[in-house]
Amino acid sequence: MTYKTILLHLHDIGRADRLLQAAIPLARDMNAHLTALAVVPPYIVVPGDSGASVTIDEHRDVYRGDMVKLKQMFTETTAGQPLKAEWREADAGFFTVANIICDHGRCADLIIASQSDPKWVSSSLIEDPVHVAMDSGRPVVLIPNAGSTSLVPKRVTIAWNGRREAARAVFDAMPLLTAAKDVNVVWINPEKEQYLAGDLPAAEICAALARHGIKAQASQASATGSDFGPELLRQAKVFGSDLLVMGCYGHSRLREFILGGATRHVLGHMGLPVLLAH
Amino acid sequence: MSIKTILLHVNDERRVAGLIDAAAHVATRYESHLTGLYVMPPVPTLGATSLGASLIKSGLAQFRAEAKRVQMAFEDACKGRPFVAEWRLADARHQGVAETVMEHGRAADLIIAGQRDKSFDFTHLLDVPERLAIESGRPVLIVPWAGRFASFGKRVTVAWNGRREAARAVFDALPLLKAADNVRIIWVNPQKDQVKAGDLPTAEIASTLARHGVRCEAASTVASDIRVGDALLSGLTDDGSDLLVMGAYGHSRLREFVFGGATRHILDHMTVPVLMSH
Repeated sequence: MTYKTILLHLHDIGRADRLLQAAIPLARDMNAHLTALAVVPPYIVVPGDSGASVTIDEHRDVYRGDMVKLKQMFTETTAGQPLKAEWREADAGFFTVANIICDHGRCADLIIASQSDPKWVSSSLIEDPVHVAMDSGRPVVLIPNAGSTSLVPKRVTIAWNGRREAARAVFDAMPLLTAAKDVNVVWINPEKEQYLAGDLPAAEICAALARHGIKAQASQASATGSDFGPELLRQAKVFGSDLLVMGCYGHSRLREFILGGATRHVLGHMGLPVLLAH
Repeated sequence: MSIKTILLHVNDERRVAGLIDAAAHVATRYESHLTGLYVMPPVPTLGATSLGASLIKSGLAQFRAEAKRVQMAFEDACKGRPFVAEWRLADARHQGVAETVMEHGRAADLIIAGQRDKSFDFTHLLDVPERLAIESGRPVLIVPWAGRFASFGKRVTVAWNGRREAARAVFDALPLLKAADNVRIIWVNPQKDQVKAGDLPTAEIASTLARHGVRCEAASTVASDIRVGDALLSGLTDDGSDLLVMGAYGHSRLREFVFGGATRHILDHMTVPVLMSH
């Protein structure tokens, strides 16, 4: 299977080049329909001086100006390319941008978005890759703010711990695994943790991958709780990975998602594209 | 992508033939590796009296004997078939049967299980198919306990509501959808107004599926006073569908699951095999 419909969240003029550099070759390779989506950020409602609330929307007008530029960048880089490109705009209104990305993304094989950048002035209003990974029901590939942008990976590291999120990620990543030359399944052995469902050996998932024609090797690393994230990134680097595939661990609490420590670390320090699934 | 690794949960010797029929249908088409799994139930923690111990011992002996009979029936039914069949006997140890099946199913493309037979009063098997659907992270094909399904999936109904779980189910079902003669995507509209064809909320997912070569049509059903579950079931009969694909809705509350009404209704009253994902 390949990805036939890809949704790209284009959000920041400063990083649009990187996102397009990642998305276009992948869409071309897979002969996919590439939809770029820009979303007007939501209204901000704050308490006013006299007690009534005030709805702020100037930032939305400013962003609409940015969207013109984003559309231009998308149209120019996809012109003449052998792929179907579609531009879309949406408005978060009183919802969140992530809600809108999910709505559109649920009909796509794959969602591509950016690693978030807390230093970007619009970050808190526009970026929430975790929410998209947790709620879209689709795999999400995040492009790092610095580092490799290639989504035609030759070497892939899979973080495996036998849990349902890892299974989701592996099977969601299949088209990318099939195209890669080498796949390394890393089982991080948790010391001090109970012998739980994560005792499923990586050998079994390697056998399952082999039946899909994917040559994967199994390896094991050791880490204690807070070192999982750094160890994972280290393993990916040592293997020379172009892509890291991992489950997105967390749970929802009221309207937010609380992330697991390893996921949080990887999302904060990734230097390569990461495919997340939940 | 195809279905190369299947885990078939068989814990009830009366269901073996029916389950193998369904499993063989899928395994034959994709030349899969089919693993049949029987799980020895968890050891009940009775007091350490000699009476308790001997009850446990004879209970376990009965299950072991059943396991042997199920194994023979499984191996017989798979003889001469064009797919690899593997038998596994596992121990639930201190976790439940569902958890054990899930462990073995994490590396499978598809898990197949039987609909719960409410007349079959073994509590250790009570909630297996539903928990697999919600917690396994893999798609689960649930086979109705009544009827034989040596062939299914010619006409498929997909229940779509734009939510995460529906997205999971549709994309998980892709290999089966591609093999169907016709796939009907329905949005069960709980209101009384008809929706214009072009506005159908199913139009976009239908486009995505069409890009994968799925022969599909977008449709909607009005379910004014009848419940969603009922509407789905009667729609299956009207359309002549022999497979239903839907998201499994529910969440855990402490260690119990609360299922959405439609999910519960289908789980209880299914008339054709149902593929569920969460």
